[in-house]
Amino acid sequence: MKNRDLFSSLFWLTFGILFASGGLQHGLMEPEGVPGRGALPFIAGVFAIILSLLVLIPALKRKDKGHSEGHKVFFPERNGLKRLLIAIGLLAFYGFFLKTLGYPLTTFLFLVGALKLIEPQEWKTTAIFSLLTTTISFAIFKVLHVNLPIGILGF
Amino acid sequence: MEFMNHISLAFSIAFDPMNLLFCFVGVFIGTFIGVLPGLGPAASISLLLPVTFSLAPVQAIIMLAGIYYGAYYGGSTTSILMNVPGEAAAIVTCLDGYEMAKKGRAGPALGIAAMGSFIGATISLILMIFLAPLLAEVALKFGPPEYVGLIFFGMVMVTYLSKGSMVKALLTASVGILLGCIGMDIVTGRERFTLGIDTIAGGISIIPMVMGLFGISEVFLNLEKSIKAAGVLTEKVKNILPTKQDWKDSAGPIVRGSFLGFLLGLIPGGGGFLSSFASYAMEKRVAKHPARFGTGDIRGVAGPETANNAGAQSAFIPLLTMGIPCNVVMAVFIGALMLHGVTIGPMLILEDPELFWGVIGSMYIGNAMLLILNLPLIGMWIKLLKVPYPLLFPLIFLFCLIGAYFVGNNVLDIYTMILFGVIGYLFKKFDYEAAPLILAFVLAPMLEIAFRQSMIISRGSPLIFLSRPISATFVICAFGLLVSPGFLKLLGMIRPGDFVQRSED
Repeated sequence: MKNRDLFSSLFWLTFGILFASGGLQHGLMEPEGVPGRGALPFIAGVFAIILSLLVLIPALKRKDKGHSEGHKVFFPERNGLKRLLIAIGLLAFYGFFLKTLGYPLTTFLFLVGALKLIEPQEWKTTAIFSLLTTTISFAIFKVLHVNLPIGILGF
Repeated sequence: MEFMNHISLAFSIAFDPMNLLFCFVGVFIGTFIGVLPGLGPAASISLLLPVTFSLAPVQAIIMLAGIYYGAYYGGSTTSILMNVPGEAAAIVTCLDGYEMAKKGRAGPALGIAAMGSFIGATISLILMIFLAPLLAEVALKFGPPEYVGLIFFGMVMVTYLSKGSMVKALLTASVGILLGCIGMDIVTGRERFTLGIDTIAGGISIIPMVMGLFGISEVFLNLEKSIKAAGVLTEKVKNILPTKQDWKDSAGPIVRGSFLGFLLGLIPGGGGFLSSFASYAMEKRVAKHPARFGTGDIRGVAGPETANNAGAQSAFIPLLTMGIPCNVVMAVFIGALMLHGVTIGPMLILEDPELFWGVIGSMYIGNAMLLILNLPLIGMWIKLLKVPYPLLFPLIFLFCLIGAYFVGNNVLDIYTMILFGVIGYLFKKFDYEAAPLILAFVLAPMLEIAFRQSMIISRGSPLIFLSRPISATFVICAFGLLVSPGFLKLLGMIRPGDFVQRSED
């Protein structure tokens, strides 16, 4: 856990510093003597700095016990990272193409990608499942009069 | 007389045919969500929120509340039949429920879980009808300093009851406040920390945030390992009605679980999760033969299942009477109520009694519906457990994507959801809890307004929080909780979070 606490606390330390300094820039007090719009971000930022130091300092003092004791492997399987990146990529693909390709085509391609690339299924299963899900969900949205993004296909 | 008036109003609204329909839809979806591992009630309510936009606020909240308490019923099914909790509050049910199922007593385990839940919810609702108006009256006397004290106490309590390190929980709460500061300053109307992005001038939307932290991150975690079919105890579930001896053994745990769950649901950080663990610990302590727990003792199912439903219902009291969310799902409800133009707080009970009492009345009917859904129709849910995960996770992704997009018809919400999905995944890997972040994020705007109003009243003196008795009590209690882990460590005692951690191990 040593490295994980180190990385995370350093990240939150930076985060806290950015917000605390941002709070200072926005002003801690209004001319009338009441807290300004930077007051709460400053106070919470300072708290985040102090608390991240409370995670960081013990992590620096702690001896890394390596694989022998208390060490957790980040990815339990070799291709864990690959699966994760594919999933993130597919989700980003959906956001990127939804307005251009429209709901049915983006959804169909997304489902095909998810079924073939992460835990590969047979083409027949993939095609039937993707087509059915897309068609049924599209029909439900049409019945509910939900405004779906219209893409290059015109629906 | 007033009590009868409240009950009559509650049921007259709850029995409206459309409200009954939405109540049924809610509890059905809730059971479905509870049965499916990987999509908890917070994420589910978030992704279904856009569907409720066209509904009246009462119908929308009745349906969303149904999803919430329905998930607690459904969560016990996977715990008992698969040893996989459908949601966090059902973790403890695995200990004895699955053991009972292995001994061929899945039926009584499921039966007592559903009936205990119903009894717990009923007792909790009766107490709610008495207590909620009283609490709303007290809350009306609260001024800004009292709200600052209450919110501060609530945040500290949530971090105190979190299952991991308290320092990390406080850190994520601070981050939640900082994220809550992004967007337009409510007092001056000027932007803060928006990086020039117009779409976040109104602040980060809570819906994609919750879906990312609690829905997407859970799927990410499941995807890093090869997906194997989970073992479901598929033999026919029979004898669902518990025997006389089962009832005799379970009566005490059910009564104790109802009151304990009700009380713990009122506490910030409480709700179903804490109630179920506390009930299990209490039953083990009062049992003549505690060694039987963990080997398939029906008391280990009856107590926690009753308590988690009682706690799930009573968690609505602080939300509806004071506008303070006790847990993540209640925080999502604040977002839902705001989107429907409902102002929550002590005035809700006076200004919108139909909504207030209608939701409470619907909970009772919803619990009765759940009894039918979870006992005679148990076979249907068992079939659902056999849907392979490789087909399930793309659907969960798709629901989340659609839900995030339709909140504001904005693609940026999809990216926000993905970002918080990655953050939620890293939180799990780095042992941080997401719940304090969400609660602090929701409470930050309320805290800021109350804090600035208090300072205006006191002309800049922070001593106002200690000079008024109610706010001083909250502040002192909060500081007491902050320093207590050190004292407890010195005394060789533990805090509740440590118990939860160990139980999970």
